[in-house]
This record gives sequence, structure tokens and C-alpha cells, in this order.
Amino acid sequence: MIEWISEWLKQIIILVLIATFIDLLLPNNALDRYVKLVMGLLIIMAILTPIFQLLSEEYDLSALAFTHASHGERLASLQQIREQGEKLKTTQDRLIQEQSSKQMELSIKEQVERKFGVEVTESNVILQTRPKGMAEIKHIHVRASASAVSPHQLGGKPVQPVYISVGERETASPKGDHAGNKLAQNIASYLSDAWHVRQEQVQVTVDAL
Amino acid sequence: MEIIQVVGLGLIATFLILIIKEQKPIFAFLLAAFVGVIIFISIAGKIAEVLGVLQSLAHQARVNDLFLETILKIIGIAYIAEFGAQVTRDAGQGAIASKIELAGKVLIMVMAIPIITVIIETVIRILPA
Repeated sequence: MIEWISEWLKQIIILVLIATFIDLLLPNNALDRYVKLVMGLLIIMAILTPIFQLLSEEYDLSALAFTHASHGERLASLQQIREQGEKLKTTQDRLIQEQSSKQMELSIKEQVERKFGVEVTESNVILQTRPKGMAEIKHIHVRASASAVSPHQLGGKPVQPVYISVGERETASPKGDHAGNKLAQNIASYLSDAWHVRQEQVQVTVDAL
Repeated sequence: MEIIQVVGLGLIATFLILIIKEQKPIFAFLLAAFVGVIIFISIAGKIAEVLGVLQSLAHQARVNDLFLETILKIIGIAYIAEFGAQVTRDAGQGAIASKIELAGKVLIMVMAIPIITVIIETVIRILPA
């Protein structure tokens, strides 16, 4: 920029110097006024050179824009941009859901392991999106292994795999092992309290080894 | 040619013309014109040097070639028209001398026409249509 301005100024200065010199060189007064007029025009033109460049560049730009618009691509491309935006938005929502459900699974695992002393082998949180765009927990599934549970909690007997869903407790739980059953219930009610979901939405499975 | 030589040539020519003028006025005029041409040509070399310096300066400053060309043409036209007008005026033909000067003025204005056109076009383009 500075370089360009200095170039421009140099041009003007040299022109003015030459004009003065020619004014001195000229023989008499007869042609003096004419030569002065032409030199003045030349200096004006040198001063206006940046404006000429600006105008010609502007002209080039507008011509480019017109040729681009004349192909009729503008509307189609706008549509495409909107579609891509929608696609990106849904992808982003999905990624956010995955990320948050993963975080929830991790924290559920930690909470259950700390509180009940069992080993959580699998925790699964399913989120669903409300129409307003907010997400809520649809289902929590926890699978715990009771190997680390102390014998008095399990009643000292080998425990069959217990499948508990709070809503359909009678059908889902096999008979017999009340300790594992109770543990699963405890975990389920604890989780429903901690995460503010209904008990039907929490499913706890305790595997006894 | 140095200034002393030019002045000496001029003085000698003047004396000769004064002597000849009584017998042959036409030769006196011819001598005057001839000496004038010689002085002009000898000075033209110096002018060429000056113009060379100007040209190199302009090239260093990257002045537009159009500007430089116009300036040099204007200088040439002014000098030549001036010289011709003076010679004819010395011969007592003031009318022809003024015509030569008129031709010089017109040619200089013709030189200016492209520049005026460009400036006016730019002004018109800047103003909103």
C-alpha cells in the first residue's frame, strides 16, 4: 500500500517538475497559455490515475457477477446450501445426543459402583428429542455383575441372572433369588431418584456369578 | 556550442547583414535566416540532452508513457513553431508568422484532446447516471 502511494506521488512530483522546467524552456508568451493548459491536464490525469484503476476494477467485478448470475446457478445453489445446513444440523444434534448419553452412562456407572459396590458391566442410556429441541432420558439400562457384592447381600447362594424391569416386575424376575432382586430394585429406585425419571424407564439387570 | 561562440556568430552575422543590406537586401535576409537555423540546430543538441535527462527521470519514476510522449511533442511543437514564426516575422511577414503560431496552438490543443476525453469520461462515470 505504502509502496503504491509512493509510486503514485513520485509520478506526480516528476510531472510537476517537468512542467515547471518546460515552462522555463518555452520561448515566448504566445504558446505559453496552451502549453500550461495541457501540462495542467496531464497533472490532473496523473492525480486521477487511482480513480481510473478503481473504476476499471469495479467494472470488471460487476461483469464477473453478471456472468455468474446469468448461468442461473444462484437459486439452485441457495437451495443446496439450505439442504446442507439442515443436514449438518441433524448430524450435530445426533452427535450431541451421543456425547451426552455417553457422559450419562459413565456417571451412572460410577454412581452405582460407588453406592452399591457392584461391578457395572454395561450401562446404556437412550435419549429422545422433544419437539422443542430439548432432549430427555427415554430409557436407562444398567447391567451389573454382583461378583463384588458381599455374601450377606446376596444371601450366600449362587444367583441366577435376574432381569428386572420395574414396571413388569412379576413376569421379568425369575423366582428364587430375592437378594439379587432386591439389589436390582434398590439400584433402579436410586437411579430413578437421581436422574428424575420414572421407575418404568429404568431397567436393571444383576448377573450373579 | 558554447555561449561565446553563439554570440560571436550572431555579431558577425549582424555586421555582415548591415553591410550587405544596402546593396542586396534579399541576401541580407537569407543570411539572417541561415544564421538563425545554425544557432537553432546547435542549441537543439543541448535541448536533446535536457530531454534525455527528463526522460530517464520519468522512466525511473515510472511515469505513464502517454504523458511523457505528449509533453515531449508539445515542447517540440512549441519550439519549431516559435522558430518559424520569428524567421518569417524578421522577413517582414507578420501575418504568416501569426498563422504559424496559430498552427502551433491548434496542434498543441490536438495533443490535449485524448487527455481531455479521458478526464471528462471519468467525471461522467463518477457522477451517478
